[in-house]
Amino acid sequence: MPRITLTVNKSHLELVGQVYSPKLTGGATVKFMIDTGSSVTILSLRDAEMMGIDGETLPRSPQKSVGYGGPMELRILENVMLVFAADDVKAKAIELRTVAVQYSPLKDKRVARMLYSVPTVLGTDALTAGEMTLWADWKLAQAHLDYID
Amino acid sequence: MSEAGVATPNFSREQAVADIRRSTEDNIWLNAHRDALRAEFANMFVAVYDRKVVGVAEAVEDMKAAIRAKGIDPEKCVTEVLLTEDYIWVL
Repeated sequence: MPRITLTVNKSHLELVGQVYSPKLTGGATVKFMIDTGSSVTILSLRDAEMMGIDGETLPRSPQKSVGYGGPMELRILENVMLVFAADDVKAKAIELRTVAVQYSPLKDKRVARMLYSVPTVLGTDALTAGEMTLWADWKLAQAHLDYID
Repeated sequence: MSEAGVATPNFSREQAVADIRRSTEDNIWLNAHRDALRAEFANMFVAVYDRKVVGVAEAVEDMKAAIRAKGIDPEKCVTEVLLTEDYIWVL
């Protein structure tokens, strides 16, 4: 069974992948934090801007979004393919009709540094679409995703 | 079009895997050097490529310009904001 080894960074599970979309010229590198508490994959403000994506030009999410901090505004990037590298050196592609994008209307983004520190999260929509099994052992600091090729 | 209705992009899977593996090493390097980098580049945007810092700036666009000036594609870098304070993420 193919496997993608995850990086255990303190208590976070991370993996690096690439994001493809018709709005992008090529594959953009993104570090994802695995978030099984998020039902959707969310591109961070920082990663979206690194890709040259302007949230203002994206459609609003048709669904309302809420977290512990209260309601939040998300935009939508359509027709997205996420690509990851399996340990057997094969690429694992996951297609999603939409990926949410963190959005902030703040004009002076230099003062909103905190917002830019929020990571991109890989939600359960991607784990489900990729038919993945998550295995994690925080005591051993080891984790991976398994899937059927 | 795929079954999911996504327009499948043209890309080299071999190149994608090579790029992801390099970026994974860059991320591990960044995690290992986080404290030293944070002391040097407090509250700045930092970009890492090939286990080297290739861009430091106070804003995303400035960092992208600094990376491009070195002939590197900003979209191939691992980036972070190195805040001096640790925040709890409630995502």
